[in-house]
Amino acid sequence: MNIIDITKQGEVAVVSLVVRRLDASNALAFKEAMVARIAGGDRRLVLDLAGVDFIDSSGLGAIVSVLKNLGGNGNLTICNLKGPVLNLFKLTRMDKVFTIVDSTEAAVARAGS
Amino acid sequence: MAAADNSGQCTIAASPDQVAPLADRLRADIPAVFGDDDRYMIELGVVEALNNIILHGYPSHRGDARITVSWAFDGGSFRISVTDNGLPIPEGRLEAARGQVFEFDPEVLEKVPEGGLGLSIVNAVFDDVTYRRLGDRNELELSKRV
Repeated sequence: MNIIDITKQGEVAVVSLVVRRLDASNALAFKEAMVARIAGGDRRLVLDLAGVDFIDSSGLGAIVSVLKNLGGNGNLTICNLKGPVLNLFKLTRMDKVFTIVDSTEAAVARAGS
Repeated sequence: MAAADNSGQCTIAASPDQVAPLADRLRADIPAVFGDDDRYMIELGVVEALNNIILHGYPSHRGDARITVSWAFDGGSFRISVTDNGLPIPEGRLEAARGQVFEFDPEVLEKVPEGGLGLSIVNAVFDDVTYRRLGDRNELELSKRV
């Protein structure tokens, strides 16, 4: 199952989800696809969640796992979070863990710097 | 249509791919009076409860495993009942999940949890969470006030 689309902007890989929900049914597939990209050398990552309406704690855990997989060698910036999804990050305090910005442009600038 | 009175019922097989279709039906019945943020949180809380049952209540993936969710709005609260016949929630687990799991140090990446947030989210989302073991059934009652 293809779960992510990737476009390169210079050194930065901009990852979009092709699903509207990131949940227990596809969190593992997402994590594995991301880890494969990291293993392939993409270590400056933007996660564009513009098309995502719903994330549960499994999806959130998968994103945390991706960040841990970078192991401090690289970065992950999240952008275009819808309001209710951002609230999930706040409820679980994950907004303190991730770099979250409003636009893809700002995320690419942050990830590339 | 069930949507007209904000009530409904749905029984699913205990499988992760069954959760989203149920959530779609539930979401359609959550009263608009709650607003987008609360509506998301109600859906999230139910999804987390279902994930928890699928993962921990039916660890051996029994083929006959079913979960029934029913919901209704009484004008003051949206109430959801989740019943299944899987393993019980271990005593004290629900109470232990009240809040502290979110109290990790966000600066220490290794300590940031990748899982185990589900029941804490259930507790955080709903105003009332009541769990009962009735014979070989589990009944979880969730309610969110307007």
